Amino acid sequence: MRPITLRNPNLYKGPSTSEEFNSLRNDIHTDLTTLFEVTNTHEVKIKENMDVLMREQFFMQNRIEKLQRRVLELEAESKAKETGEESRMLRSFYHVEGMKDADPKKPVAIDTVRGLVSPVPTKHQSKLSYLNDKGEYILPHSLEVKVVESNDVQPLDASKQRVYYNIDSQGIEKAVDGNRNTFWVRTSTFPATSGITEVYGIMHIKLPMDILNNVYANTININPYPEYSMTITDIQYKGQGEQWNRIDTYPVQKVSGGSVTPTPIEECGKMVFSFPKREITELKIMFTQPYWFEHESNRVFVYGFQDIEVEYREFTSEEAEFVSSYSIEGTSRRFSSIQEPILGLPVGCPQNIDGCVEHHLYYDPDLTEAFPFGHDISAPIQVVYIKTILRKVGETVPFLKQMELRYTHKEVDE
Amino acid sequence: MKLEKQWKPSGAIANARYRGVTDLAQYSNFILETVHDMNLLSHLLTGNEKTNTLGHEKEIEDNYISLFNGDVSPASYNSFTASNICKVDRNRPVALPALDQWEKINGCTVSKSGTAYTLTSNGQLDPCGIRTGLFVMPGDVIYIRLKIKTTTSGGVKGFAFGSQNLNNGAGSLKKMDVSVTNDGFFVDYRLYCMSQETVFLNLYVHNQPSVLKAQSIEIQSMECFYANEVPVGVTPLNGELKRDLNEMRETINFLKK
Repeated sequence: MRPITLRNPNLYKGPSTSEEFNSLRNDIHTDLTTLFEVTNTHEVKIKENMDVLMREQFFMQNRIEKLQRRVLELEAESKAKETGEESRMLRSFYHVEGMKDADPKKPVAIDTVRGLVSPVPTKHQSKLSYLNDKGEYILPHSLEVKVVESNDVQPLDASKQRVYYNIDSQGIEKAVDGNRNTFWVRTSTFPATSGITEVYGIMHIKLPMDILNNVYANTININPYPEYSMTITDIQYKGQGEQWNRIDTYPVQKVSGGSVTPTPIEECGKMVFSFPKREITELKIMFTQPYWFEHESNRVFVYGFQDIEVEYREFTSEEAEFVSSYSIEGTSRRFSSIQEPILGLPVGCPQNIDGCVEHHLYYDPDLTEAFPFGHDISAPIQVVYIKTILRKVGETVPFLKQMELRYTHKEVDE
Repeated sequence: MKLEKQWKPSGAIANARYRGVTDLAQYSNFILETVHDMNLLSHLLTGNEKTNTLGHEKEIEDNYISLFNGDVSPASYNSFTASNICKVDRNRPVALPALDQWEKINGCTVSKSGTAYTLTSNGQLDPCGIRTGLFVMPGDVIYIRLKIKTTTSGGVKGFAFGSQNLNNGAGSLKKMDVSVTNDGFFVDYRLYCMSQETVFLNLYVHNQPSVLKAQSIEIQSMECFYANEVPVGVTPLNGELKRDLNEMRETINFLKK
């Protein structure tokens, strides 16, 4: 902000005419008003930002507490299994320690925020927002976003379906504006005596059809807020017709009678749904918030989204490669055999990736000679290197979440 | 509810500034308003000890320090800085027999109609209801939710549910009077277990009511699950959060060896 009072030509000489005097006075008042507006904005922003950070942190504490309990359980399980000879090592992709490119011409995309590795898309096009030359995200006017809400004491309708009510969706564009620093947050407060233990929501997005070159999309990114609290219960899309379909890679379970039902994704973190390209004109994200805060005789349910992105990503059929190292240095053990890694695949991405992934085992960092998996190793080797090759097969693009290495070991001097 | 404090320049409500200065008093007013506004702005930005205003500069600093090192409390926020995060774990139901299999106390009768059970007292003895045994461990939180309804004229007095003898006999019951309604409504309660013991879960048609009389209550549905409650507060990154993560990392490293 630059005070307009500074524009006054006679600022340092004093007002010379009545008109200039009045003008200076008006300018001073305008500047003061602007300063108050800026101050008010800052005051609101300081509080809003602190709220976002505190609530995110609350659920992070909740998550850590759960992980601590899980580690204790694993510790107990590990003690019970100590006689077993086979050991395991896990490679996740939340960090790149111990990883490198196998061939700089065949890079992979490592998403350390979501802990994923995949081939690099050659092109990606957002279906919701546009990035201008200044790096700002522009939302088309024809983009429509709406959220409806319900809860678990809300009476069902005559056909036993949940009844949803409209909510104030002010600021909802923050959920789809492509900006990771803005959030759409909804706080639903009910009396503690209400008996409500879960809030349900549906986010309905109508894509801006008037300005899209094509309606194909194959990727949906969902960043819920607060992270690790909400449950995503289903994601459905509508093409050019009237039929709603479930996203192909949304996890489902078979129930009696052969039909399938969507599997809830509990305590959802940042997620990627990657699926074969589909015509998408509308999208519905169904979710619940089963966590609440007890506060002043109220149950406060907080939910929202940091960002939702619908994209079309283009991948080539060229191979992408990376090398990961596995070490038992610092112990008196050496590897005596290595099994082919078992892959952990992310929920929401293709689960059948036959032919998309290949592993090669090396004993030296220069990857001089590949060795077969499962054979006895007699050399005193404490570090092994695995080159992983990813390739798109048909419409299937591989996304990896984890690699589990099973190995046996012996003492170095054995 | 969020209360927004809107600061406004005092000049906006004083004299008609676009008509210009007409006399000395108005000119003085304008100067005073301007000085006041600038003074107020400086207080908003940098604080004022007299009015106990921290100012944005200090608020930003304190918010940052509270999250990073925890040396001070958060200074400016809309929501709360400490609470309990609660969740009913619907994957962990508490195994209980059907209500008509519970032990009857003081002449309570239980009848079933569809999925609903009606508990009836003849009003002779108090407390009157049903109970069943449950083994609990310290730290367990038992969540009970009932959908209830009564058609007893004047409503049900002293309806209660929970556990009569939880925590070595201390008991934990939710008591309420139930009015006559057209539809059932939900009531819920949580039992916080502090020791390893076998306790009774109780549903009382009445327990120490204001008026002892014959009455009945319909239990249209009953849910009983374990629940989770985690106390949370603003925790500095450099303190507890990193300490907890480091501790987990140490344990995981130990398990890998």
